[in-house]
Amino acid sequence: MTQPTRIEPDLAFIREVIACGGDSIKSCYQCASCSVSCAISPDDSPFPRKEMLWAQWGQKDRLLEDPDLWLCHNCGDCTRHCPRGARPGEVMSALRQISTASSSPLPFLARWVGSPRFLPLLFAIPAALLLALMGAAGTLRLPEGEVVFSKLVPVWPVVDILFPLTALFALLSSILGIRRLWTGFVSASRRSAPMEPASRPQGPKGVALPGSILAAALEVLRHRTFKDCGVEGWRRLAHLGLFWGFGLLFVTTLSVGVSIYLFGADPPYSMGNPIKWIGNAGGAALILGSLVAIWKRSAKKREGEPSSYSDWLFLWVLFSTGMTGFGAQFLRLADWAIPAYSMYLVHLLLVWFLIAYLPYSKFSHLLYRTTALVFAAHSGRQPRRSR
Amino acid sequence: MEKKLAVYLCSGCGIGEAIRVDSLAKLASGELKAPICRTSGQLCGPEGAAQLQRDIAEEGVNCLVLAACSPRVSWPAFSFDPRRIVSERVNLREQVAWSHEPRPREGEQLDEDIQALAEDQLRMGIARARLMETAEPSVEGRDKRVLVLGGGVTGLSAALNVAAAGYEAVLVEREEQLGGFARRLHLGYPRSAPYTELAPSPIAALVEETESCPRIEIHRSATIQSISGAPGMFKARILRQGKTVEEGAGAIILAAGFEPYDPRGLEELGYGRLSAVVTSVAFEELAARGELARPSDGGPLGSVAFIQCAGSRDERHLAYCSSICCMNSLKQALYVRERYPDAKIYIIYKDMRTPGQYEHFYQRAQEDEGIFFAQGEVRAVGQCEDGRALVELDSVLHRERIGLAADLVVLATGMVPRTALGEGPGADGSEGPSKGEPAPATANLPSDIVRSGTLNLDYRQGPELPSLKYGFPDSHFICFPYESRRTGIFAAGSVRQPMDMAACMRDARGAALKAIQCVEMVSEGKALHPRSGDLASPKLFMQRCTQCKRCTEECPFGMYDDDGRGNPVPNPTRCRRCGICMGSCPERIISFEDFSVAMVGAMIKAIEVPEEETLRILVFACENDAYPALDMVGLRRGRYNPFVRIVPLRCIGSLNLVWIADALSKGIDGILLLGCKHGEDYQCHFIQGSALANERLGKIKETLDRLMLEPERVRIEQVEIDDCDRIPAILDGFLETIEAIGPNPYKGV
Repeated sequence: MTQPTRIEPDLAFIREVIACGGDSIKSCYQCASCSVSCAISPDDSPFPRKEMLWAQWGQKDRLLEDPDLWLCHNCGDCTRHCPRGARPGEVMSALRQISTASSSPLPFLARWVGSPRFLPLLFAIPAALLLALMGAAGTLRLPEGEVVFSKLVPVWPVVDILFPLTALFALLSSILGIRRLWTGFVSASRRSAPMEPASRPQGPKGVALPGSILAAALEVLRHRTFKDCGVEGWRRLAHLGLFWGFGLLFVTTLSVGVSIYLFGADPPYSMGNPIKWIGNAGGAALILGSLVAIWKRSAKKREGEPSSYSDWLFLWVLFSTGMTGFGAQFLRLADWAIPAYSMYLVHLLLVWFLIAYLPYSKFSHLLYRTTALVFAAHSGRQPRRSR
Repeated sequence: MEKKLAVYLCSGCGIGEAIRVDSLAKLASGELKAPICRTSGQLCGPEGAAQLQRDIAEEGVNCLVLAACSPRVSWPAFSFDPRRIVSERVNLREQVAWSHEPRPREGEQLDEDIQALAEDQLRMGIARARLMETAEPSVEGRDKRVLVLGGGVTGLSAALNVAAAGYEAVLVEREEQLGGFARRLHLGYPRSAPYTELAPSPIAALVEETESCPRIEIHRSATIQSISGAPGMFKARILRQGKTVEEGAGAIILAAGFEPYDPRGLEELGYGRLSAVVTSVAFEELAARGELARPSDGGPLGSVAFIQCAGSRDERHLAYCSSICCMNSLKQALYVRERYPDAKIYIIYKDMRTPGQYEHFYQRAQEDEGIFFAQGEVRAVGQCEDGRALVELDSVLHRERIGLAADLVVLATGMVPRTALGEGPGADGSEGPSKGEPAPATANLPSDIVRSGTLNLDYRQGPELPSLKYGFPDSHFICFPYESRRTGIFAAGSVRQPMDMAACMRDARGAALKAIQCVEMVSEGKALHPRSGDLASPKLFMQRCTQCKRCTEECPFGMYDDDGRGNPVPNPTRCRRCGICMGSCPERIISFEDFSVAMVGAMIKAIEVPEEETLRILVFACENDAYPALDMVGLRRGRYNPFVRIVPLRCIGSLNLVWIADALSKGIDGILLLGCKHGEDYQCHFIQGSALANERLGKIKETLDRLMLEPERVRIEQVEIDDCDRIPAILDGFLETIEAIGPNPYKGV
C-alpha cells in the first residue's frame, strides 16, 4: 500500500461521461446512499459509489475494467435516493455506453450509434446494401400479382447474402468485444482491490467456467435479479417481454431458414403454421414489452429522471421492428401491394439495424451483462440477495 | 449626606402568600427603626411607583430599601439617579417566596424558617443601605476621537464607521499606502448572494472613501512610538518619517491584521526544496501580476495541487484553523480553471470549512469538471519523472495512497496575528504559556504578553494586549468579543481572530460602535462594561495604604499605576468596577460609594444567628452568573433550604477575607462562595476574579486554624448561568456537610 497509485484524471473522459448523460457526476459527495439503497450490489466494495468516485476523478482505465458497471440493472433506486441529485443510475448508464464503445472493435461505430446526428447514416448503410443487392438480383420494381415479399426481396441472393454476412459481422464484433472486456475484468481482479477494507472476510469461492456460464444463462433466462430490484416490478415484465419476444422471433427466423433449405418450403406460410404462431407471439411480446418500457420511461422523464438517447433509440427500434413486422403481415394478407412492400422494406432495415449494431448499441448489454454475470459467478462475487 | 430611610415592602407575585409581610413591616419600623415603612400589593405598579416618587419629593426620602422582586427585574420602576438617591433591593420574590415551600394554609403552623430568611434579607438590605453613599462620578477623560491602528480592510472600515457615526478618527498605517494585505489580492471570493461568483477585492473603494473622508486623519508610513493615558485621555506618540507627532484619543481600535504563516518550516511539504511549491500568498501575487503559468517553461498550467491546512491545525506549527484558507483555495482553483480550461486542480484537505452561505461557493467548485477534491493526509511531496511535483497522500475515499502530479503545489498557509510576532511566550502563534516552555527570563514581561511593537503602551502591565492563546489579543469572552483586557482598547479583524474580509468589515463595525460607546460613557464618568453605566468608582483612603501593591498587581485591567514607592495611582477610566482591588486590600482602604468592605461586613453583622441548633449559611454569589442562576431556581420554583443568607458580590473576586472571619466569629456555620469558572476557558466577567477568589480562599486556612474551625466550613463552587438545576443540590449538599460537622462553636459567644 505504500507505493502510491498514480492518478491522472482524464478530463476528456469526464467530458464524455457528461456528454453521454452523466452530467450530474460532479454532484456526488460520496455519502454512499446509492450503494446502500441498491438491492443487488454486493456487500464487498459495492457499486455504484466507487464508480461515482472513479468517474468524478476521470479514472477511465479502472472503469473500463470494472465488471460492476454491467452487474447494475439500472433500476434507478440509487438515483431516487441520492440526496445530492447526482443520479448514479444515469452515470452508470453513461459509463456502460462508453464501455460498449471502447470494448467494440470499431469504437467510431458505437459513437455513431450514440449520437442522433448519425442516425440517418446508420439507416442509409443497410438501405444502400439492400438496394444494391436488389438491383443485382433485378427485382428493383414493384412486383405484380399477389403480394409475396420474395418477389421484391428474393431469399437468394438478397436476404440470404445480406443477413448472414451482417450476423457474421455482429458475431465477430461481439466475440472481440467480449474478449476485450473479459481481459479487462481479469487484469482488474489481479490488481489489489483498494476499495475493499483490509479486514474483508474471504468471500465464497468462485465457480468453474462452465458452471458460471450456466448460472449466468439461467439468470438471464429467468431475470431473477430484476425481481430483486423489487420496487420496479413492471421493468421485469417489460424486459421479459422484450427478451422472450426477441428470442421467439430469433427462433422463428431460424425455423424459416430450416424450412426453406431442408424442406424446400418457401414462405409465406399459412396462418395455421406453427412457425407463424411462434413469430406472431414473439412479435406481440416485443411490442407489448417495448410499449410498457416506453410508457414507463416517459413517466420517469416527467418526474425528472430522463433516459438517455441510447435508451430511447434502442426501445423505439425494437417497438418499430415489431410494429412493422405485424404491419407487413397484415398488409400482405390484405394484398395491399405498395404499403405492404414498403412496410416490409422498412422492417428489413430495422432488423438489420438491430443485428448489425448489436455490439455497438444499447443492445450490447445482452453480451456484456452476461459476460459480467459469468465473470462474477466465476470470481465468486456474490450479489446481495433480497433481504 | 443626611439620609432619610424608607422601607417598601411588596406583597405581590406570591410574596404575601409565602411570608407575613405585616410582621416584616413591624420589624422594619420597630427594631430596625426605619422612619418610613410602607407596604404595597404591587410596588412596581403605577400606584407603588407614584408613592415612591411622592415620598422622595415630599418626605425628602433619599435612601430607599425596596423589598420586592430580584434586582435583576423591574428596573424602570425602581431606578433612581444614583447621584442623589441611594437604593437597595431586597430579593423577597425569587430568592424567598418562589424558592421555598409556600406558607401553609390558615390554621396550620407557619414555617418560621422562611419568615426568618425574609427578615434576615431585609435586615441585610437595610444595613447596607444605611452605609451607602450617593455616587460621585469622576469624569477624567473627554476626548472623543478614536485612534485606529492599521489601514487594512478592518482599519479602514472601522475608521469609516466611526466617521459615519459623526466622530473623528485618527488612522495610523505603517506602510506608505493604505490597503494592507488586501492590496496583494488578485480576486476576492463572494461576499453576497448568490455566493457563487468571484468578486473583486473591495479594498480600492475603501481606500478611496477613507482618503476623501474629512473626519479621518491619516498617518501613513507611521508607527506607534508609545501610547499612554487611559480611556477618554489616551496620548499616542506617532513616529512618522522620522518625526514624532502626538495625537489624543478617547478609545483605540487595534486592527493590526495578520502575517501569513512563515512557510520555511514546511520543508516536508516541499517548501524550499522544490521550486514548484509556493504558498497561497505567493500564488495570489503571481495571479495578480498575470504570471500564472507552468514554472518549467511558462506554458499553460496543466495541473495545480492545493494542500490545505499546510502548517495549520498541527501542533508543530499553528494549532488552530485560520478559517479562510479553504475559501481562498476554492477561489484560486476557480480562477485558474477560468484562465486554463484544461487545467486540473487537486484540493487536498483534512476538512473543507466553508461555513454558512459559503457552502454555495464550495458546491460551485465541486460542480467544476476539472476540480478534484481529495480528503486525506499528505505523506510526501516529491518529484516525478517528467519534472512535475508529485504529492502523495492517503486518500480517504480512494482508500489507498495515491500520487498526484502537479505543475504547481500551493500550500494554503494560515494567519498569524501581528500581535503574536515579537519577543515573548506565545509568539508566532504557538500555544500560550500554559502549555509551552516557561517564559524566557530576559523578557521580564507578564506571561501572556508578546512584545510585538503594535501598541507600545506605557502600562505597568506591559506594552501590549495580553492574549490567551496563540497570540490573539482576545478576551475570550463570548459576551464581549471586541473588548480586550485593557479598557478602551478594542481589537478587531484578523488580529483578534482569523477571519476573512467580509467578517473583518463586520468586526470593524462592531469595534467602532464599541469605541464610540467607550468615549461617550467615559466622558460621563460611567463604567463601560460589563457594569455599563455604573457611576460609582473606587475611592482610596491613602493614609492607611501600606504599599503592599496587591491592588496594582491584582487588577486585571491595569487600573493602578505604581508611583515608584509602591503607592497605587488610579487611572479611573480604565476601571471596570469589579471590586477585585477592594477584595485584595488587606487594609480595606478601597471602597465604592455603593459597595465596600464595611457594607458587606454590616450585612453579615445584621444576620440573626439563633443560639439554638438552627444552622445559618452565608452565600456570596457572583452577580453575573450565580445570582441570576439563583433567581432562575425561584422562577422555575426550585426548592432549597431556608437557612442560606445570600449576599450578592459584583465579582466573586471582590471577596475580602475579613468577611469570612467576621462571619465565622459571629457564629455563622458555613460559608459558600458561588463564582464563575476559572482557569482555561474561564467564564469570569472580569477575567481573573474567580481565579483570585479561589487563590485567596487557599489562604483562609490560617484563619480557620486560628479559630480552630474545620476547613469544610468554607467552600467555593463554580457555577454557570444555566446551572439553575444544580444550585439546589449545591446549597443543600453544603448544608448536609455542615450538619455533619455540627454547629459553629462560636454561636452566641
